[in-house]
Amino acid sequence: MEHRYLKALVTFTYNKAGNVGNLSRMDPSLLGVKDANTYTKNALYLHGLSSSPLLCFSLVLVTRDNHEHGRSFGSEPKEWILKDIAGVLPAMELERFVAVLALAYDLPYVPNDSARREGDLLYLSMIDNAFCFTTSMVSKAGECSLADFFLGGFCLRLRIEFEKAKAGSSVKSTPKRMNTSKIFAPASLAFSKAAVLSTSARKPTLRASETGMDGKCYS
Amino acid sequence: MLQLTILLTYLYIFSVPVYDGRKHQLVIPRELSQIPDVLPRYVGGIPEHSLALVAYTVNTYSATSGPRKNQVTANLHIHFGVVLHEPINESTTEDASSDKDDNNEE
Repeated sequence: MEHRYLKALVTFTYNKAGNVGNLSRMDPSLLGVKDANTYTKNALYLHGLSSSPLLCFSLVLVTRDNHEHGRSFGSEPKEWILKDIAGVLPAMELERFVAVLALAYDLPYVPNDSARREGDLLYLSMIDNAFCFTTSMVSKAGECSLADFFLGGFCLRLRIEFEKAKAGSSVKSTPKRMNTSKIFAPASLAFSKAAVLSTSARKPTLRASETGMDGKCYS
Repeated sequence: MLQLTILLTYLYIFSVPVYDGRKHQLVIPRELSQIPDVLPRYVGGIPEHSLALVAYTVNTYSATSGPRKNQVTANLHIHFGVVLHEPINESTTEDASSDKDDNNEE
Protein backbone atom coordinates (compact mmCIF):
# COMPACT_ATOMS: atom_id res chain seq x y z
CA MET A 1 0.00 0.00 0.00
CA GLU A 2 1.31 3.43 -0.95
CA HIS A 3 2.21 5.76 1.90
CA ARG A 4 0.54 8.65 0.10
CA TYR A 5 -2.76 6.74 -0.10
CA LEU A 6 -2.57 5.75 3.55
CA LYS A 7 -1.85 9.35 4.52
CA ALA A 8 -4.81 10.55 2.47
CA LEU A 9 -7.09 8.07 4.27
CA VAL A 10 -5.85 9.07 7.72
CA THR A 11 -5.90 12.83 7.17
CA PHE A 12 -9.23 12.99 5.36
CA THR A 13 -11.44 15.51 7.19
CA TYR A 14 -14.91 15.71 5.67
CA ASN A 15 -16.81 16.09 2.45
CA LYS A 16 -20.07 17.98 2.54
CA ALA A 17 -21.22 16.84 -0.90
CA GLY A 18 -20.96 13.18 0.08
CA ASN A 19 -22.05 13.75 3.71
CA VAL A 20 -19.00 11.81 4.93
CA GLY A 21 -16.43 12.70 7.57
CA ASN A 22 -13.57 11.52 9.74
CA LEU A 23 -14.28 12.15 13.43
CA SER A 24 -10.58 12.04 14.27
CA ARG A 25 -9.78 14.92 11.97
CA MET A 26 -12.79 17.16 11.52
CA ASP A 27 -13.65 20.34 13.34
CA PRO A 28 -16.22 19.54 16.08
CA SER A 29 -17.89 22.90 15.56
CA LEU A 30 -19.16 21.55 12.24
CA LEU A 31 -21.08 18.79 13.98
CA GLY A 32 -24.60 18.95 15.33
CA VAL A 33 -26.68 16.52 17.37
CA LYS A 34 -30.13 15.62 16.11
CA ASP A 35 -32.99 15.76 18.54
CA ALA A 36 -36.14 16.02 16.49
CA ASN A 37 -36.90 12.61 15.04
CA THR A 38 -36.97 9.68 17.44
CA TYR A 39 -35.39 7.24 14.96
CA THR A 40 -32.26 9.34 14.45
CA LYS A 41 -32.33 10.95 17.88
CA ASN A 42 -28.91 12.08 19.14
CA ALA A 43 -27.24 11.17 15.84
CA LEU A 44 -24.35 13.33 14.68
CA TYR A 45 -24.88 15.35 11.52
CA LEU A 46 -22.90 17.84 9.51
CA HIS A 47 -24.15 21.43 9.86
CA GLY A 48 -26.34 22.30 6.92
CA LEU A 49 -27.19 18.65 6.28
CA SER A 50 -29.45 17.92 9.21
CA SER A 51 -31.77 15.67 7.20
CA SER A 52 -29.44 12.67 7.38
CA PRO A 53 -26.80 11.49 9.86
CA LEU A 54 -23.14 11.93 9.02
CA LEU A 55 -21.44 8.81 7.67
CA CYS A 56 -18.16 8.61 9.57
CA PHE A 57 -15.04 6.80 8.37
CA SER A 58 -12.25 5.48 10.56
CA LEU A 59 -9.16 3.52 9.75
CA VAL A 60 -8.79 0.58 12.14
CA LEU A 61 -6.70 -2.49 12.74
CA VAL A 62 -9.24 -5.30 12.93
CA THR A 63 -9.03 -7.40 16.10
CA ARG A 64 -12.28 -9.34 15.83
CA ASP A 65 -14.74 -9.87 13.03
CA ASN A 66 -18.31 -11.07 13.47
CA HIS A 67 -19.86 -9.45 10.43
CA GLU A 68 -20.92 -12.73 8.85
CA HIS A 69 -22.61 -14.79 11.55
CA GLY A 70 -22.79 -12.36 14.47
CA ARG A 71 -22.61 -12.91 18.21
CA SER A 72 -25.46 -13.94 20.47
CA PHE A 73 -26.27 -12.92 24.03
CA GLY A 74 -28.64 -14.21 26.65
CA SER A 75 -30.52 -17.46 26.52
CA GLU A 76 -33.83 -18.73 25.20
CA PRO A 77 -36.41 -17.28 24.94
CA LYS A 78 -34.67 -13.90 25.30
CA GLU A 79 -31.69 -14.50 23.05
CA TRP A 80 -30.25 -11.56 21.14
CA ILE A 81 -27.87 -11.36 18.24
CA LEU A 82 -25.71 -8.60 16.77
CA LYS A 83 -23.03 -8.35 14.12
CA ASP A 84 -19.90 -6.35 14.67
CA ILE A 85 -16.36 -5.56 13.66
CA ALA A 86 -13.96 -4.64 16.46
CA GLY A 87 -10.92 -2.56 15.63
CA VAL A 88 -8.19 -0.46 17.21
CA LEU A 89 -7.70 3.10 16.07
CA PRO A 90 -4.16 4.44 15.73
CA ALA A 91 -3.11 6.14 19.01
CA MET A 92 -3.25 9.74 17.82
CA GLU A 93 -6.51 9.18 15.94
CA LEU A 94 -8.06 7.68 19.08
CA GLU A 95 -7.23 10.75 21.16
CA ARG A 96 -8.64 13.07 18.53
CA PHE A 97 -11.73 10.88 18.11
CA VAL A 98 -12.53 11.01 21.84
CA ALA A 99 -11.96 14.77 21.99
CA VAL A 100 -14.19 15.47 18.96
CA LEU A 101 -16.93 13.17 20.23
CA ALA A 102 -16.92 14.81 23.67
CA LEU A 103 -17.03 18.31 22.18
CA ALA A 104 -19.77 17.39 19.73
CA TYR A 105 -21.96 16.04 22.53
CA ASP A 106 -21.00 18.96 24.77
CA LEU A 107 -19.76 16.82 27.63
CA PRO A 108 -18.33 18.55 30.68
CA TYR A 109 -14.69 18.25 31.70
CA VAL A 110 -14.34 15.24 33.97
CA PRO A 111 -11.27 14.95 36.21
CA ASN A 112 -9.87 11.45 36.43
CA ASP A 113 -10.07 11.25 40.22
CA SER A 114 -12.59 10.65 42.99
CA ALA A 115 -14.38 13.94 42.22
CA ARG A 116 -15.77 12.63 38.97
CA ARG A 117 -19.42 11.64 38.65
CA GLU A 118 -20.45 8.55 36.73
CA GLY A 119 -23.31 10.46 35.14
CA ASP A 120 -20.87 12.80 33.37
CA LEU A 121 -19.06 9.97 31.59
CA LEU A 122 -19.69 8.81 28.07
CA TYR A 123 -19.59 5.06 27.61
CA LEU A 124 -18.46 3.31 24.46
CA SER A 125 -18.89 -0.28 23.47
CA MET A 126 -15.47 -1.94 23.47
CA ILE A 127 -13.77 -5.33 23.43
CA ASP A 128 -10.44 -5.02 25.26
CA ASN A 129 -8.98 -1.84 23.79
CA ALA A 130 -10.85 -2.08 20.47
CA PHE A 131 -13.94 -0.17 19.53
CA CYS A 132 -16.98 -2.21 18.61
CA PHE A 133 -18.72 -1.13 15.43
CA THR A 134 -22.03 -2.92 15.72
CA THR A 135 -25.40 -3.34 14.09
CA SER A 136 -28.60 -3.05 16.08
CA MET A 137 -29.24 -5.92 18.43
CA VAL A 138 -32.15 -8.05 17.29
CA SER A 139 -33.99 -10.96 18.76
CA LYS A 140 -32.75 -14.40 17.76
CA ALA A 141 -36.36 -15.23 16.94
CA GLY A 142 -36.22 -12.58 14.22
CA GLU A 143 -33.02 -13.89 12.70
CA CYS A 144 -33.23 -15.15 9.17
CA SER A 145 -30.79 -15.53 6.34
CA LEU A 146 -30.79 -15.07 2.63
CA ALA A 147 -30.49 -18.84 2.33
CA ASP A 148 -33.79 -19.24 4.14
CA PHE A 149 -35.36 -16.61 1.93
CA PHE A 150 -34.25 -18.19 -1.33
CA LEU A 151 -35.00 -21.71 -0.12
CA GLY A 152 -38.44 -20.49 0.92
CA GLY A 153 -39.02 -18.88 -2.48
CA PHE A 154 -37.87 -22.06 -4.21
CA CYS A 155 -40.27 -24.18 -2.12
CA LEU A 156 -43.14 -21.78 -2.87
CA ARG A 157 -42.44 -22.00 -6.57
CA LEU A 158 -42.31 -25.79 -6.43
CA ARG A 159 -45.60 -25.81 -4.55
CA ILE A 160 -47.27 -23.54 -7.11
CA GLU A 161 -46.01 -25.74 -9.94
CA PHE A 162 -47.30 -28.80 -8.11
CA GLU A 163 -50.71 -27.19 -7.50
CA LYS A 164 -50.88 -26.12 -11.12
CA ALA A 165 -50.10 -29.61 -12.30
CA LYS A 166 -52.72 -31.01 -9.91
CA ALA A 167 -55.38 -28.52 -11.01
CA GLY A 168 -54.66 -29.01 -14.69
CA SER A 169 -52.57 -27.23 -17.26
CA SER A 170 -54.97 -24.30 -17.76
CA VAL A 171 -54.40 -21.42 -15.33
CA LYS A 172 -57.84 -19.98 -16.12
CA SER A 173 -59.57 -23.02 -14.69
CA THR A 174 -58.11 -22.29 -11.22
CA PRO A 175 -60.44 -20.26 -8.98
CA LYS A 176 -59.15 -16.76 -8.18
CA ARG A 177 -59.36 -17.16 -4.40
CA MET A 178 -57.18 -20.26 -4.51
CA ASN A 179 -54.47 -18.38 -6.41
CA THR A 180 -54.48 -15.55 -3.93
CA SER A 181 -54.07 -17.79 -0.94
CA LYS A 182 -51.14 -19.50 -2.59
CA ILE A 183 -49.30 -16.28 -3.33
CA PHE A 184 -49.73 -14.84 0.15
CA ALA A 185 -49.05 -18.08 2.00
CA PRO A 186 -45.82 -17.91 4.03
CA ALA A 187 -43.08 -19.29 1.84
CA SER A 188 -40.87 -20.30 4.69
CA LEU A 189 -40.11 -19.78 8.32
CA ALA A 190 -38.10 -16.74 7.29
CA PHE A 191 -41.23 -14.73 6.49
CA SER A 192 -42.89 -15.36 9.79
CA LYS A 193 -39.67 -14.64 11.64
CA ALA A 194 -39.22 -11.38 9.78
CA ALA A 195 -42.73 -10.33 10.66
CA VAL A 196 -42.00 -10.86 14.34
CA LEU A 197 -39.01 -8.57 14.04
CA SER A 198 -40.95 -5.58 12.82
CA THR A 199 -42.26 -4.30 16.14
CA SER A 200 -41.87 -5.97 19.45
CA ALA A 201 -38.78 -8.09 18.91
CA ARG A 202 -36.31 -5.24 18.59
CA LYS A 203 -35.23 -3.86 21.89
CA PRO A 204 -32.64 -1.13 21.39
CA THR A 205 -32.21 -0.49 25.10
CA LEU A 206 -30.74 -3.94 25.71
CA ARG A 207 -27.34 -3.28 24.32
CA ALA A 208 -23.83 -2.87 25.56
CA SER A 209 -24.93 -1.65 28.95
CA GLU A 210 -26.47 -5.00 29.76
CA THR A 211 -23.78 -7.14 28.21
CA GLY A 212 -20.91 -5.91 30.33
CA MET A 213 -18.66 -5.04 27.39
CA ASP A 214 -18.62 -1.28 27.81
CA GLY A 215 -15.57 0.89 27.97
CA LYS A 216 -15.48 4.25 29.63
CA CYS A 217 -14.54 7.36 27.78
CA TYR A 218 -13.28 10.23 29.88
CA SER A 219 -13.66 13.68 28.46
CA MET B 1 -45.42 -7.52 -0.62
CA LEU B 2 -45.47 -6.25 2.96
CA GLN B 3 -43.62 -9.34 4.11
CA LEU B 4 -40.98 -8.79 1.43
CA THR B 5 -40.60 -5.16 2.50
CA ILE B 6 -40.13 -6.24 6.11
CA LEU B 7 -37.58 -8.83 5.07
CA LEU B 8 -35.62 -6.34 2.97
CA THR B 9 -35.71 -3.82 5.83
CA TYR B 10 -34.42 -6.53 8.13
CA LEU B 11 -31.60 -7.41 5.76
CA TYR B 12 -30.70 -3.72 5.34
CA ILE B 13 -30.51 -3.13 9.09
CA PHE B 14 -28.81 -6.34 10.04
CA SER B 15 -26.40 -7.18 7.21
CA VAL B 16 -22.89 -5.70 7.12
CA PRO B 17 -21.45 -5.62 3.62
CA VAL B 18 -17.66 -5.66 3.40
CA TYR B 19 -15.90 -4.46 0.27
CA ASP B 20 -12.51 -5.37 -1.15
CA GLY B 21 -10.25 -2.33 -1.34
CA ARG B 22 -6.97 -4.22 -1.68
CA LYS B 23 -6.52 -3.73 -5.40
CA HIS B 24 -8.36 -0.49 -6.08
CA GLN B 25 -7.23 2.78 -4.49
CA LEU B 26 -10.15 5.07 -3.72
CA VAL B 27 -10.14 8.66 -4.91
CA ILE B 28 -10.47 10.62 -1.67
CA PRO B 29 -12.87 12.17 -0.83
CA ARG B 30 -14.99 11.77 -3.97
CA GLU B 31 -15.27 7.96 -3.97
CA LEU B 32 -15.85 7.58 -0.23
CA SER B 33 -19.55 8.21 -0.73
CA GLN B 34 -19.70 5.78 -3.68
CA ILE B 35 -17.87 2.77 -2.25
CA PRO B 36 -20.67 0.22 -2.87
CA ASP B 37 -20.66 1.20 -6.55
CA VAL B 38 -16.89 1.27 -6.92
CA LEU B 39 -15.53 -1.72 -5.02
CA PRO B 40 -16.30 -5.44 -5.32
CA ARG B 41 -17.56 -7.40 -2.31
CA TYR B 42 -15.07 -9.06 0.01
CA VAL B 43 -15.84 -12.73 0.49
CA GLY B 44 -15.36 -14.41 3.87
CA GLY B 45 -14.29 -13.22 7.28
CA ILE B 46 -11.78 -10.44 7.77
CA PRO B 47 -8.49 -11.84 9.11
CA GLU B 48 -7.20 -10.53 12.41
CA HIS B 49 -4.79 -7.56 12.15
CA SER B 50 -6.12 -6.51 8.76
CA LEU B 51 -6.23 -2.83 7.96
CA ALA B 52 -9.80 -1.77 7.31
CA LEU B 53 -11.92 1.29 6.84
CA VAL B 54 -15.22 1.24 8.71
CA ALA B 55 -18.20 3.41 7.82
CA TYR B 56 -20.59 4.12 10.68
CA THR B 57 -22.99 6.61 12.16
CA VAL B 58 -22.82 7.81 15.75
CA ASN B 59 -25.65 8.33 18.18
CA THR B 60 -26.15 8.09 21.91
CA TYR B 61 -28.73 6.51 24.14
CA SER B 62 -29.37 6.14 27.84
CA ALA B 63 -30.07 2.71 29.29
CA THR B 64 -33.54 2.55 30.84
CA SER B 65 -32.61 -0.26 33.22
CA GLY B 66 -29.65 -2.22 34.50
CA PRO B 67 -26.50 -1.13 36.36
CA ARG B 68 -25.88 1.81 34.00
CA LYS B 69 -29.36 3.26 34.10
CA ASN B 70 -29.58 6.82 32.72
CA GLN B 71 -25.90 6.84 31.74
CA VAL B 72 -25.09 7.98 28.23
CA THR B 73 -23.59 5.42 25.86
CA ALA B 74 -22.31 6.24 22.38
CA ASN B 75 -23.27 3.72 19.75
CA LEU B 76 -21.09 3.27 16.66
CA HIS B 77 -23.57 1.81 14.21
CA ILE B 78 -21.70 0.12 11.39
CA HIS B 79 -22.91 0.48 7.80
CA PHE B 80 -20.15 -1.25 5.86
CA GLY B 81 -16.45 -2.03 5.93
CA VAL B 82 -13.61 -1.95 3.42
CA VAL B 83 -10.61 -4.26 3.69
CA LEU B 84 -7.53 -2.29 2.62
CA HIS B 85 -4.73 -4.67 3.51
CA GLU B 86 -4.45 -8.20 4.84
CA PRO B 87 -1.57 -9.40 6.99
CA ILE B 88 0.89 -11.66 5.24
CA ASN B 89 0.42 -15.24 6.34
CA GLU B 90 3.52 -16.13 8.36
CA SER B 91 3.26 -19.88 7.77
CA THR B 92 3.40 -19.49 3.98
CA THR B 93 6.39 -17.13 4.15
CA GLU B 94 8.17 -19.52 6.51
CA ASP B 95 7.50 -22.39 4.11
CA ALA B 96 8.78 -20.34 1.20
CA SER B 97 11.96 -19.35 3.06
CA SER B 98 12.59 -22.95 4.17
CA ASP B 99 12.16 -24.12 0.57
CA LYS B 100 14.75 -21.57 -0.50
CA ASP B 101 17.17 -22.78 2.17
CA ASP B 102 16.67 -26.37 1.06
CA ASN B 103 17.44 -25.44 -2.53
CA ASN B 104 20.58 -23.56 -1.48
CA GLU B 105 21.81 -26.55 0.52
CA GLU B 106 21.36 -28.82 -2.47
